[in-house]
Amino acid sequence: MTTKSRLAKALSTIKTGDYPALMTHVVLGYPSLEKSIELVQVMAENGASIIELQIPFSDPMADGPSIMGACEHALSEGVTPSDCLEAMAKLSSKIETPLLFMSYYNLVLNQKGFAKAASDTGCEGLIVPDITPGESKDSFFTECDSENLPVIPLVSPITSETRLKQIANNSTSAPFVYCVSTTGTTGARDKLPEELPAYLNRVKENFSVPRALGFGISEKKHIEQLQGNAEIAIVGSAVINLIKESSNPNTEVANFIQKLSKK
Amino acid sequence: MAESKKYQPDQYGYYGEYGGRYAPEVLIPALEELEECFESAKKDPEFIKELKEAQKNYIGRPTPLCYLENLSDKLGGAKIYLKNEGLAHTGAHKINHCVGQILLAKRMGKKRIVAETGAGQHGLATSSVCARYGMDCHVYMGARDADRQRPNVFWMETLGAEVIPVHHGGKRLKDAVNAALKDWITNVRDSHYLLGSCLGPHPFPEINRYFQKVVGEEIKSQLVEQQRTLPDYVIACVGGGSNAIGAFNEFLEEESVQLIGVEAGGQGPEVGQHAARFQGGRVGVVEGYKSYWLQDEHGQVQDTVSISAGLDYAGIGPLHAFLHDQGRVKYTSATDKEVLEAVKTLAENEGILSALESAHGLVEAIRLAPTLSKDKTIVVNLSGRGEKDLFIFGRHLSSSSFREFIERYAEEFKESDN
Repeated sequence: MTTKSRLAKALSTIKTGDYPALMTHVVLGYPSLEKSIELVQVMAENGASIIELQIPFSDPMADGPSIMGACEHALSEGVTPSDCLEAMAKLSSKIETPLLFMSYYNLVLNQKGFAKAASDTGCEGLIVPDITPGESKDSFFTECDSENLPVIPLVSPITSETRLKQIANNSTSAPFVYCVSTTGTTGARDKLPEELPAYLNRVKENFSVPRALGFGISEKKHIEQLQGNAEIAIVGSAVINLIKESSNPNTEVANFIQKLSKK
Repeated sequence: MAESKKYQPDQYGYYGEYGGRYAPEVLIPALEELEECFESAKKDPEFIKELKEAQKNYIGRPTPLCYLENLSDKLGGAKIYLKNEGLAHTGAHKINHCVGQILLAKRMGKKRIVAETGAGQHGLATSSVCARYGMDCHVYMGARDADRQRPNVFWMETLGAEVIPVHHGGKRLKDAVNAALKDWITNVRDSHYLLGSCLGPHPFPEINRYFQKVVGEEIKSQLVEQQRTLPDYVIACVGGGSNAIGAFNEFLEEESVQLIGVEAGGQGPEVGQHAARFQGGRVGVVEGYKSYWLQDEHGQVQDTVSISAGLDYAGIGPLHAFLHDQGRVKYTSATDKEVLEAVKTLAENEGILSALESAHGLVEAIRLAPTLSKDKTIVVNLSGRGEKDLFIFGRHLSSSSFREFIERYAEEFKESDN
């Protein structure tokens, strides 16, 4: 199977109303490049349906303290965007789980031909929170289109009805839509916002693709609450926090992912 | 004068290829709301009346345009004039856009203000307008900047603001902008981000230009009144670039007027030792806008060095990037050492204390004046006064008596607490 069809296949098995599929996240270079690559494999083996690999950036605008700290650490380890492309190539040849890149626009802009390079390494989509379709004159979106590399659209609880339609129209080839749970940056939170079902319902009315909910999901009960409201649950900072405090991160991450990914 | 389209942003907020709105989706509604509010306010006579009233009676506009006769004679060339924004309320040009933006915030019904500050002058001005207009004020400041501009931290707190030191990255202005953006992302429903320079996602660069352009308008009419000419040169320091845009804007279409922006040369031209974006910077997108950024080969933003916290910033406002590429403004730099010398020169010859930031512009005027004939005129925008820099001047300029005083005072302070 080519890497290009892995994401489509994973998404085709997800049904509204089922227990949500799990999308997990690593910062490449945290706690080290080697260990982050191992962690991706651990996640894949223990039930993650999709994994995003974050390329560390010096000024991650949408990230809270956990991921920001992990990025600072990764940069101090000397991890470069080229290292991340290599890591993607290595991982996509080893595991069947669909992989995405997450980063910020400056790194994409600085790496000439990034869309092609990413696509060539087996990456199946990009999450770039600081560029939104319809807001920029840059060729970024068309470059990704020509590589058949989807840019995952993001929406928030305060995205208006008009904008939801606009974003949906601007991203017809999107495999899923990333729904930010709340106004705020990434980070584990105690509970999910109460208005979530109404918000996710508005998203459903405008997008025919699966809804992935992220920002603030740190426990199994959060994912249970999402059943019927979102098809994918995204866990990021909670894993970073686990790695930070753990002496045996691979085992603990394996257990955590297993617990979260099964009903 | 009527503004032509040449230096105006397009519908996406780009000046040429620079600027734009590179913001997370969660901020887009707030940026749209702000843009709509700004566009309608500009056309509202009541808003303009309130703005003009505040400019006159709260800020103290117009600020003087002062001929520096002693310094000009001493240098033996062009006549140097100083636009003294240091005499504006709160001591710098920052109050101009703070008054404007707080009126916009009021119009939008926002009650909570978040801001970043470098040297503390924007934070001080923001804290002041928040106190006056009854808003809840939160100012992010790089931890390093909070230490080196401690007097402004004290006054901001006295004015009722919460000052939050930022310990990430280089602990400077860039990190403060980052932290303020994150606060805004979190509290966007009820907060206005009172951004302090001509940078950030559209429409911020344009909003601050609009509220700062009064500086150049005054320079023009004051110089015509004093000597019936336009200036030959207008010089201003450039951090993010708000005071320079304010001083230059009126003259952008006057091709006879040469415009010079002066960046922070810091400790020298080596990578990582300065904050001169046009000497080694490259096009990038950070903090919501496209412009020249000091960054490494991979696109990671680099740390900067400058004695002036207000210019110690890795990016530069997008209109400056455009003016640079168009060749309309020439950009030079001044080192920390030259800046300290210029502060001293201005103080001794004219009895005026300059902020470290503004003294970058003075350095260029002092270089340039002797090379020009006596019928030429240079206007330097003195964007702020120097009192905030007491501790930095104290360390670099004074004899041991200031140090002795600080040590003795610290001892007494400690004892009085016990």
